Amino acid sequence: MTARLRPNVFHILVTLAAGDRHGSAISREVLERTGGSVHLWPATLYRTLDSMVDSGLIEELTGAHHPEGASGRRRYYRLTPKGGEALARGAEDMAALAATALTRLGRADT
Amino acid sequence: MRSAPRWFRLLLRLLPEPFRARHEDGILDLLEERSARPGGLSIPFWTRAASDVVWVAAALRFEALGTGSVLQDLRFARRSLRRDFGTAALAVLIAGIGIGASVSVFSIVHALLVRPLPFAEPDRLVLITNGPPGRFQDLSGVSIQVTHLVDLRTEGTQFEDVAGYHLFDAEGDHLLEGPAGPERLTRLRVTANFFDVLGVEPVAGRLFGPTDVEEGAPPAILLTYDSWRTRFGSDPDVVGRSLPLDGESTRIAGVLPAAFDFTSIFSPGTRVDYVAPFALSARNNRTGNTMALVGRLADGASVESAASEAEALAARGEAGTNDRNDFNPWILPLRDHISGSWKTAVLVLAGAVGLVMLLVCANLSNLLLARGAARQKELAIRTAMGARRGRLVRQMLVESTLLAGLGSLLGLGIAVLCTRWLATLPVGIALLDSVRIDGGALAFALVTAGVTALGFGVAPALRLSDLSLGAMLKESSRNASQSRGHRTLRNGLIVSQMMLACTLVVAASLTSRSLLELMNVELGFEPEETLALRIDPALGFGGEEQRIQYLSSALDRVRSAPGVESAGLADLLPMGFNRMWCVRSYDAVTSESSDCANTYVRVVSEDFTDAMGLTLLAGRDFTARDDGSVPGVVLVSERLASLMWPEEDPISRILLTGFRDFRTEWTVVGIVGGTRFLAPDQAPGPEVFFPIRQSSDHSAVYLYAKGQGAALSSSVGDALIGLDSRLPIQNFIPIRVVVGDTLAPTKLLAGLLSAFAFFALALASLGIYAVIAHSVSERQREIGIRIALGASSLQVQRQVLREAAGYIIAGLTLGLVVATLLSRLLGGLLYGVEPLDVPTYAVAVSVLALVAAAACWLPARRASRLQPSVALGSESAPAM
Repeated sequence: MTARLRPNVFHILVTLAAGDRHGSAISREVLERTGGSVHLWPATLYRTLDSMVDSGLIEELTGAHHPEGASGRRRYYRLTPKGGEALARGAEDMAALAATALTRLGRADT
Repeated sequence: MRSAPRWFRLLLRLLPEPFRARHEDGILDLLEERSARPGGLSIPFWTRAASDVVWVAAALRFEALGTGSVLQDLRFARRSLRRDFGTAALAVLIAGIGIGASVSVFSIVHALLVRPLPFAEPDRLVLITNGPPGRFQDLSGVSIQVTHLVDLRTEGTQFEDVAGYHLFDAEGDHLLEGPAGPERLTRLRVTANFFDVLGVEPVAGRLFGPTDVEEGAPPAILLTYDSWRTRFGSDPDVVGRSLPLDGESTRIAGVLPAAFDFTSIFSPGTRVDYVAPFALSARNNRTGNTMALVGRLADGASVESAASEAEALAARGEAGTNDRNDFNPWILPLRDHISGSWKTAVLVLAGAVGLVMLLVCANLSNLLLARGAARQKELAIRTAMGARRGRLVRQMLVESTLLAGLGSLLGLGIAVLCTRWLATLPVGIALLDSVRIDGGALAFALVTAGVTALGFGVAPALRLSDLSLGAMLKESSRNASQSRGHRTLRNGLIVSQMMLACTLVVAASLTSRSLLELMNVELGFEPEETLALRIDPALGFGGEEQRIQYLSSALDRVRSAPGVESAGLADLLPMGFNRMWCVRSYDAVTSESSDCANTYVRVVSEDFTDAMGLTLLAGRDFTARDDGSVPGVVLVSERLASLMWPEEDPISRILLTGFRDFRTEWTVVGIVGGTRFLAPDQAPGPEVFFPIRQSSDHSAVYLYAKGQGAALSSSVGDALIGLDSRLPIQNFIPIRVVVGDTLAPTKLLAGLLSAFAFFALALASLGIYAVIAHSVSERQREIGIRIALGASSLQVQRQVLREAAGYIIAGLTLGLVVATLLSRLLGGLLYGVEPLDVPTYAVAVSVLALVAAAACWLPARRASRLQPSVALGSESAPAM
């Protein structure tokens, strides 16, 4: 079993799974998707992004790969294959955990 | 955009630079977007945003500076120091000696000048004497009569209370006949309120009260802590016990605490075994000037107000009465009295050790720089691989801190040994025995280590980390401009080391010269072959006839003992107890201020002048026939003779003595050369010698025996057996030792300064050697070319020496300037040598120049012996 992904990392991976994003967009999407319950504050967000780049879960795009019409100033991030795998494993773990929980509560859809 | 407030942008600076450069725009973007949403510009929003920045900044910085990475630095430092073990060990040794010396001197300063005296509210205590007190003042002059003390106590409003102690209790005055045999003890007499004024509590029993000084009160004494410990094994039941003291049963009332060390504070270099009460009675008043006073100032009183009140009281008391001696009140805070005379010496030591520490820092800088030069490539490569400059500086500071830390451990060890040694030195310096390593000294060691680490670490760290890769890795490996910067720093270090060493060597030379002068001073007597022994009979002399018989018998026995060349008696030892009388002559104009001359009084036997080596200038010595059956005769010193009978022959003149009446006549039969009986640096005063067979006015009898050989004391001791069964025949005192002891503080100061100077000289020569050796190895190619082109080895040596000479001369010149300025501080400590004594400076400079030249010559010689082929082939690996 791999190490559990930290919540912030998981949310960022989920967001990037939908396509390349810059920091503000990631933060906004997470906030909207969680109904305002998860705030990724900027300094924390960029620190997390840096460490995810370091561990190879995501990569920072060079200017040439920026989406069309994007501001050159912004840094865009993309999910790496390694990041994709980590997200998939994380999601499976969570699904398994969720299934176990539901079974024990007698609400499984079987 | 840019809606973020200014303070928030400032806050962003907390973030480490690379992170901020990469993400500042992103952070501001995001906040702008957020702030456009509902609740976006609220105070909670910005608070949350700000704390987010602060938290991340702290986390990032902690990661960068985190413990893990300092540990890594430490491991790296340890490895790199181990690789170069010799240099590291030398650096630790140098730092250790420097820190050890500083901490020791700090402890001296702390004990003598800073730490509060061991009394209650010591700042309110003052010493009151008759005129200015001094170490070598005659005791009769500075002491005070009982009635003056009573006036101060009863009428003084500026004093809470005043107490007194007796100044004329001489060492070994009293005989204890204990189970271990007869033993001479030293008593101190104090007024009944003495300990109350000081605020001292007993460790056992009680202190004195008013009943102890009442007429007919049973004799009671207090033991000093030391006496209680050594004679009675710290037995608490000793209180109430009786002792056979001077043939009288005396009760022990209490034991004084260890903190009350009277001699260490009031009378260093002497000893006190027990304390007895001294009554402020009419009878004691008649004995004249006897006491020094200790007063406790009243609330709100100052030394000045107390002094003017005491003067008024003294003047009123003396008016219209003939039975009061003069009292010229002199009031001094107790602390000033105790440490005042050593203050300059202690501050000179502190200054000297400060110079030593600067020298240590300069030297270690030099050493690290030289070592760093060998690591330039390593550092350059690390820079090229992305190590930032700050990282390298930190690495090097960690190394210097590690060295200073190890050095301070060594230094603390050295300081513990030094302070223990100092505290046991019998040099007669007040409070010196309380010197020790305490919390303050530990804190000082810590600070010194820190400052030292920065002091010697920063310059090399900044210098070495500021190197570009290209220059460092070049084939020739030395870029002119960098070498120049490097060399300037190292040459500056040579100049400053020479300067500091020069200052210290001059100071040490001056004090050593002064010590030599003192040791060679003409004392007026010859201490080398003479021993003294106190021989007063245990139970007093009985009558006058028995006294003469006893003294004659003692002299006869000792004279015939083997090995004794001559023997005599006197009532005192040199360099200690002394007394003065005012004497007069019928025809003499004596002094301007009074009609009698204050004269040192000695009572001696025939042959004393011979046994003690005094010079008889005219007339004759006493003989055994100068006794009570013939008119009184005296010997006078040259000085007294010239005061009394200038330009006339003093022989056969009459000298008059007697308390206030001058009715006793003495005929002068001989003139002796003056003696320095008070101290070697005190010029002889007027002296008069009375024959012991004619004058019983003496409180002690010392036998002086002159002879050669180690067996003298046992020979004299054997001869005295049977003289008095209760005479303690021990504690023979070599006069040489008595004189030597008075020089002990000067010796200590000269010794410490010389040790500092020697260390400084060693450091400076090491520093010069390191710099020259490095510069030679740096220029091997150039030197090789010169040799290949035909330069002789002498020429090469000369070139190397010439280059160094400039910096050495500059350092010496600066050192001379500093020494001349600082030597004034030494002025008061010097005897027989001026602070600007040219020969001393010349010798000091010559020694320094010679040592420096030797330090240069070694690498210069190595350079001149280079084989051109080797030198040209070498790739400039520095030798250091």
